[in-house]
Amino acid sequence: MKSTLFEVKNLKTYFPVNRGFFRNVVNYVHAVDDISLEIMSGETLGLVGESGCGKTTFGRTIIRLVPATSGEIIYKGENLIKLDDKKLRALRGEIQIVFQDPYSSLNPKRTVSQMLNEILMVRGGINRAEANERTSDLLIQVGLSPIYAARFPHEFSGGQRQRIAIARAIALNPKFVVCDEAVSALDVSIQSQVINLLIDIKAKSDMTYLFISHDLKVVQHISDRVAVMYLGQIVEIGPTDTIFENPLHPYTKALLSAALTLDKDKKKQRIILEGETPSATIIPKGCRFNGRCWKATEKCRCEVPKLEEVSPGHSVSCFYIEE
Amino acid sequence: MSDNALLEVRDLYVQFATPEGIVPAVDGIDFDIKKGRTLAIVGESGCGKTVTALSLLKLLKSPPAKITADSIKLDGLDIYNLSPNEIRKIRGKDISMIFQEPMTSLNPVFRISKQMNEVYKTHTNLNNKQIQEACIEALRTVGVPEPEKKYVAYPHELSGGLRQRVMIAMALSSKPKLLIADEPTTALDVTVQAQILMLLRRMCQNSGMSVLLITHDFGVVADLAEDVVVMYAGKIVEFGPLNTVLYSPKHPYTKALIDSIPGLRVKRGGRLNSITGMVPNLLRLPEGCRFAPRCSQANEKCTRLQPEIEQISDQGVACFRWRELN
Repeated sequence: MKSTLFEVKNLKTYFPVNRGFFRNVVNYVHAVDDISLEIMSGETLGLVGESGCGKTTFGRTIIRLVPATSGEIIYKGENLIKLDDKKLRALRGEIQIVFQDPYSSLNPKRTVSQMLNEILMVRGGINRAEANERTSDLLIQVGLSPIYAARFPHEFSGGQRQRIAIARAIALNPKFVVCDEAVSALDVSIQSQVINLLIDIKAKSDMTYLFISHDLKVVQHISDRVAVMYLGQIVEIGPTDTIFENPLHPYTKALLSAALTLDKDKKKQRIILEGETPSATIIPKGCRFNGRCWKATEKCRCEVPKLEEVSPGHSVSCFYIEE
Repeated sequence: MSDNALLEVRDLYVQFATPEGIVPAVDGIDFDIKKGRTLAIVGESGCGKTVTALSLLKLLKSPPAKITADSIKLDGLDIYNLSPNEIRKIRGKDISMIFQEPMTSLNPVFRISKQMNEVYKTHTNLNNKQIQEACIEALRTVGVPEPEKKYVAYPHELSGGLRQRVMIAMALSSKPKLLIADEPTTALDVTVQAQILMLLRRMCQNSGMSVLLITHDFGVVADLAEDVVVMYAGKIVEFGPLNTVLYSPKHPYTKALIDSIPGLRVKRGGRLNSITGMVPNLLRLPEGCRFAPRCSQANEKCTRLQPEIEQISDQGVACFRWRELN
């Protein structure tokens, strides 16, 4: 049995909306609204959802790049939310992130070796000569030549930059990496290279990934388990094959059917949802999906469904689950 | 080539003068769009697909761009040699275009009404009241809820999906013969993408217009297109009807590109078949076949000579070795 690496309990992240001359708080964006889940050691958990559903905020909150409003994030027996800065900094090396945009996530004024050496020397506590050596190793590990160490980010293509961002994330041998749309900005042929790289790194060093993406094909390929988010909440979570072959929540069904497929045999009737994701400031009453759901009844408009386990490891939050 | 071609493009070149040299963004391509059919140009970023689309309507600033062609014919009319004034009359009337970014392709300081009215004022003789009615009707046709309200809204008040619907309504208002859709759903979420693709398909069926679809996503191609052109580094490497290109590709690049999409042929969690290296810099193109440095099947001839397109019935392939490889 795998052990739990992260345990997230009732996590909420709200952003205040300020209006008027005194910038009074008039409302909150409920970006992450009461999420509880566990991330197992050594697994890849895929997190899917449409833009604005809060998946990026969730990824950033659990590594404390964004302050949580309430809830608990238990990592190694400690609540990350309560951790003071000093202790948190000591943990930073173990929990890392790869951002979506390889063009803006690297400092344009610093060379690759400056970036990587700094991390290795300050956080890894090794001297410059050792750091240089390790930088070369890292570059080789992500499929780049060590001679690139002296170059600046603008000298690289998008795919190469993302490799550098990955090298930076794995420099301190982290246990957990958040991949926030790490391959979304890349062309198909480059995307597959980077996916292969992530798979290889994981196979070598027993890494745990939280893989955030809107691309269902990529998530299906790389994840062991998948969580589906809608408007700040998880509507369905389970093993990848279960989610993709037997989705139970209407939103998951619609999302999967909307994904374009090249597979002739799988072309099926598409569920076309009406409208778009509501704003996260004005949360609909009852089930959040009721306004777009074709099965919604009076109950859905009044009561909030809970995320309940329907089979081992597979949980759904919907009143009307049919097999 | 054929009688039923709406658009015929012969030997189209687009070059950009840059301080580092001339960039041959589109390098001698031929293609036809048949009447009432949808042709997709697929390729990775920088392969010249958008530039091809923009050059048809001369929407590239010249200089630095230089467009040359043997001919570009729309319904028999040579639009390549038209003067700037004449081509303006074609734009938005016979050929209209929807762009990738619905966020930036509408002017943020004017209401939807003003921007839509302009299209009608340019291309029809309707009076203001009739224009307003026509606009609201057009918005209703593309599925905009409460079209009367949205008609007087500013672009920032609309979501991405709605803005793209407005763009489609504007593009279709003059009943064009050809619609150029440049990555029409790339910026949208999957559920909204499904809505927009369905709308585009319905509009094509109803009006019988032809569509030139520009995309990098084979999923969108499989959904909407009937014919496909695959471009690589400014050249066409393969073309043909959708089912042949998608399910029995002949060119090594097309094959590799389709193979690198997750979830098709590779088991979950396994390594994907990726293409090594990256798209060549157009300023320093390889001497022979442009794909040769990345091609697993390239031999000495491939690195020396450029393959021409060879046509077998309705499919075309630009590769020296396609016969022995298939």
